[in-house]
Amino acid sequence: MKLYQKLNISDFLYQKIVEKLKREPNDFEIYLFSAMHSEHCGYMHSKKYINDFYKENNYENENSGCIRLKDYCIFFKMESHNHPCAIEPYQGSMTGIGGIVRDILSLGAKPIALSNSLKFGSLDELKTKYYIDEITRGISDYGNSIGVPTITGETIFDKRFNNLPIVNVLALGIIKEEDIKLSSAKEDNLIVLLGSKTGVDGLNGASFASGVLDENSNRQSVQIGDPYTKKRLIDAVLEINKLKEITACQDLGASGILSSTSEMAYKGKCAVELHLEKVHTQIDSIKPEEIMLSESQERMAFTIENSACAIEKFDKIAKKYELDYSIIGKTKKGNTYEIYYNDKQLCTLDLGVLCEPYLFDLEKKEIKNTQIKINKSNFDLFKDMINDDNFSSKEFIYSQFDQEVQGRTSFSQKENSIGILYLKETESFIGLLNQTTFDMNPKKAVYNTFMSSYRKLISYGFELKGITNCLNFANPENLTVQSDFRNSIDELKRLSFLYKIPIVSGNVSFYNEIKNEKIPPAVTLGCIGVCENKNRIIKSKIDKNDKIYILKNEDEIKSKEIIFNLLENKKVKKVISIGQFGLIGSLLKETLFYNLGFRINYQNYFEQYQKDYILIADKKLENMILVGEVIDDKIIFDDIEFEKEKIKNIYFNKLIEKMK
Amino acid sequence: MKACVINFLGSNCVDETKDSLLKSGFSVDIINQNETNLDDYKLIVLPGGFSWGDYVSCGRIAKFSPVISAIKEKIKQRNSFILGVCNGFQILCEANILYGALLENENQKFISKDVDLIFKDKIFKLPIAHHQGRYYIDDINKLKDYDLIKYQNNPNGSYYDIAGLYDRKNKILGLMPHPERNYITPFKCENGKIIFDFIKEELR
Repeated sequence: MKLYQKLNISDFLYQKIVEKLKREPNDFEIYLFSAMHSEHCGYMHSKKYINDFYKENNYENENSGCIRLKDYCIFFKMESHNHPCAIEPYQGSMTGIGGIVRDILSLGAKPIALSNSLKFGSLDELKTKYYIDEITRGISDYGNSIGVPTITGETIFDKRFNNLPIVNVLALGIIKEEDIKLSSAKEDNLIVLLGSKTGVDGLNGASFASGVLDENSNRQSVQIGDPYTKKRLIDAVLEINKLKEITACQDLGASGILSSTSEMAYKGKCAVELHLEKVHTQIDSIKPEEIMLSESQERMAFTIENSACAIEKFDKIAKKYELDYSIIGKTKKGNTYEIYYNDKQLCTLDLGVLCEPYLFDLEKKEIKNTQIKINKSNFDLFKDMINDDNFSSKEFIYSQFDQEVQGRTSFSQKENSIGILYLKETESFIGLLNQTTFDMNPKKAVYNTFMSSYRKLISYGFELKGITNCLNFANPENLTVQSDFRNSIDELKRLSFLYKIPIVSGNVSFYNEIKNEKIPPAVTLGCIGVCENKNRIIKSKIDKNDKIYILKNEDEIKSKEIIFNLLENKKVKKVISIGQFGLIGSLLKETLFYNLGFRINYQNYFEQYQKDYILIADKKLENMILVGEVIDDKIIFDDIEFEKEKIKNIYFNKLIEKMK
Repeated sequence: MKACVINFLGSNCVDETKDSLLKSGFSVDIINQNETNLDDYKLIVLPGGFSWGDYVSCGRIAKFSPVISAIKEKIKQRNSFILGVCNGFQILCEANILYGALLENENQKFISKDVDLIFKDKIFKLPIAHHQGRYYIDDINKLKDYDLIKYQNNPNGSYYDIAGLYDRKNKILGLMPHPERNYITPFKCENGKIIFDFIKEELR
């Protein structure tokens, strides 16, 4: 077996590299290509399709994109950490948070909120409980410790994720636009590496995350998180990025030093010269290729002006936060990537060849509309809903996340299905949620996710302003997967243009497949809404005898205006958008929170993601359909009646019992 | 009146604590763990967070900071108030400035939720967010000069339902709940004010 084959480079891709390079790469270079030309780093199966969403010049070519509020930018991005979580869930979820926070931080933005989308297998599997415990603990230990609140999230249980949990995490940060640091390097600068020592953990994690998992998957490919160092790194980077001598900043994520230094230089159209013996490392015996590919956590790279004064300023901040750093090389005129180890030259590569991998075309098939008609009575549908673990309260998970550190959280998962932050910098509120829906038809799934997020934000008084996404799919070499992927993208593109919502950042995770089990297409959207009118946000309790109305939503924009008007004039106590469990499910979750039931008489009780809104008010509402009222101890619809107490007990306690 | 918030390496509730103190009428300095001159300050606050990552145990490393020796000297002068919130409370216990210790929660998990507290005949809600907040004391008689803040429904297995304690003689208050999270944020209740008003009253 040849080295490139051992490193998971296909014969086809190897040939492409040789063609571009016009020679055979040496062994060291093969290591570099194995990482840079992996799916994880190179986006080889997706790059052709993910770049033409609706955009508004939101820095989408940087590590993260943003929306603008006054003279501030709100950067946010979502990322997957599925492969590491499958084989080492605690470290995997920790470093998932660590990685996404760095993407925000590298622009100089202060991380102020986190959220997550977790997809686990069936709760009847013992393994699922292990994954839940470990992944929750990882997010808890890391996110809480670095002092960034987890203000919202979703948890899904589905047997299709029995062997491969899907862990997507989102981070959001704020910075004044004039203070942003970009990631393109300038010529004749020094390259400085700040943070943890480089070790042999997370070795070639990029290539590991670019293949199908099996029993031989290497635990050494999983990174190890250190939240305390990350906390100091965050504080230090926020301070360092204020220095005018810093010309570019880039985080070290997948493929560590290699991808961060090459990408900074490639974007900045200059050359790089690195001297690997200068890198501060955990062990002396680390090999040069390991230094290049290590994904040791809590590291950032900078380019800084080559002057004693610049170094002195940098040194002072690093010392203040007790962080190590090393000056590992420099940028210069040209377009090459040159690596030395103790003066021995290991490679000279054209940056274009290194940073521009071969891109694949994906097939697309038209979707056949297959609708499955479910013939079940309302009584049975209600029972199904109550028995579905997805309906139950997930408090046992989110109560492990600090939701209020930093003192900006106005509403968190404790009370709302979206997280609401107050930004003192702009005197406005932002609403955050992330969601995934599933459907046989991938377009329909994206449509439901997009529109139900759009409506959910409106129901709380927020207007959708930007989206990040995480596209989780199985093996992209499979034609069905290719087609599902492209159809999902097409629908997201269509909706982003239709509603003029910029897709500011995103992440693609392929090869979510284990032992021939493919995950279903899982497109998670992280949605940000903005509310600049405090009067539109309502904090009121639902009471007995409140009336329940339906707002027929004939036109999304008009309905938005009607709802905002009702909220601003305090005519309603609560607006509820309809989610996965239909009208009954969405209404029930709200009333149970206040220990109440309801009586309604209407239709389509369990139709998912319908576009109408539910309104709860203690005043009479004009032009709305009155369908029922809030009552004390029963849940009644049509002639069907349930005891509230029993349902409440299941809703709040079932998952806690199951986890024991 | 002048207050300081100590920003230990790993503290993460510094900004909101500062904003809460400003809202209470204090002027506020942020100092670090190496500061030894506390002469200017009537109120010294050890904020929440994960000092030194809570490695070894919560507050175990922070207690060796120079500022802790300075606080011990300051207490002898009897002219100031010391407040420790969450990690700050853990540090005060570790440093033997307050009696007792904070152990891992009974359920061995991080708990982030609102809890009902009883303090000075008042019942009010504040949020807790900790992994190691189970108060332990070997002999309750040691607390006879202390006022107690108690949980109405003990969330973490604390002995005698203790959420916080106030050493009346030396004016030292340590508590696990976070008053600074329910004071400055729009739409949150302002129960944190109860704690800050109490401090101002004691300093009068």
